[in-house]
Amino acid sequence: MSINYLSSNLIRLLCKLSFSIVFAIIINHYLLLTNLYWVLLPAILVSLPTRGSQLRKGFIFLIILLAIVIAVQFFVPISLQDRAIDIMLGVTIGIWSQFIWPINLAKEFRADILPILQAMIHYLEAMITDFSHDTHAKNIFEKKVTLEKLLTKRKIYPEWIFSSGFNPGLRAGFRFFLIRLDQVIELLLILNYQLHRQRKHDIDPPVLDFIIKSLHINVEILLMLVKYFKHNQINNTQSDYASDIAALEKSFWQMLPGNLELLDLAEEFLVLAALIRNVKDTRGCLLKLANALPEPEG
Amino acid sequence: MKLASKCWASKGTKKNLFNIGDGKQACDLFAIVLDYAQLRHRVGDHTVFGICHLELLSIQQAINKMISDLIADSLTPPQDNVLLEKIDRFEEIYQNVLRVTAPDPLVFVLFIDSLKMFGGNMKYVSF
Repeated sequence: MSINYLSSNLIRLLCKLSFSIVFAIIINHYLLLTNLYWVLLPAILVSLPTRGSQLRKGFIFLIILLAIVIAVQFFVPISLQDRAIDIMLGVTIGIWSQFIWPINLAKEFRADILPILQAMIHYLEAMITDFSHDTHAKNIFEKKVTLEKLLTKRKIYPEWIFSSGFNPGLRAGFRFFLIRLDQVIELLLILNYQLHRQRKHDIDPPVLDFIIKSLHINVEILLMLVKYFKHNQINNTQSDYASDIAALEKSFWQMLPGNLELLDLAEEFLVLAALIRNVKDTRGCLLKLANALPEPEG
Repeated sequence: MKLASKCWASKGTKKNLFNIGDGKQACDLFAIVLDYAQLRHRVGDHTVFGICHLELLSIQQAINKMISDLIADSLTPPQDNVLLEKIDRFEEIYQNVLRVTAPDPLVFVLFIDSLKMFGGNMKYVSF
């Protein structure tokens, strides 16, 4: 899969570059006053693949190269007007080349987000196994490190969504998704700590069952997201994704006296309250993500 | 792994800066920081923060100072007295005002608990 990804990007780059070079040579052939190198340079620089900010990229290179030409004219006798025209022609060619085989942002986003979602599922499943069987699973740390590594790799984490100049029509949706996903990841990292803290205290079996059930449903929603991004399908499910959380909260409040101040007095209640709140917040974020998905194509 | 092996190699010397136990503490500390930071998502009505703005700022300063102290003198665990004092002040505001005015007071109880855990855990994180 990664080889296909690389090769498609390489072919895209070669297509854009060859278009820019050929077009620059044709222009140089017909407009005899132009200097080929000054047309080629901006054409090549601007034609490098970018994600949704072609005009901005072209404008930045235009300013930089014009500044270089202005600086160079003090040392070398060149015609400022001709070179400025060359650069503008080159930038125009580069911008036009971006329309050849453009990057499919939705496809790119899917490819980037899938390994992160899968790592999240593995991490959450490891935590559930660890918690439900009351054993210290060795692989939790590995799963956590895998997830954290994915988040720090620039080639995998779709950081390009936050780059300035990104397509204004698309950025709101992409950024919403990524911000919510970041929040879910934060909650998962907290969950691991809270489960370990909870382990020190006894927990009522009904509440424990409700927590495990809710965590499983969170995994189910994550799997639904993976299925959507992988196969462009949405599961038809019988679950309403709300009744289990309501039951969990009800069972918790039944254990407690009605006064919040008593939470401070008993640490086990406080730890349990934090854990339940975490599960509830994770569910809220996951449902927002699921609701934000567009209808599957076809 | 590289870090762990490096620490293992320097075990027993004065240059023993880090061990696996401290690494676990640092992970827990990171989780606690993320936990108390959830307050911004959990409080839907941000005008509530106007009531406790100064207290939150003083807590932020106390946390920053603890972390700066830890960086400056990594062998001595930072003192959490100032932070605990600020948390007490925030707790007073919670008891007198937030408990009644905030739509979901439980989030502030969890926030206070998380801050206390942060102060407690900082004592054990030394490099």
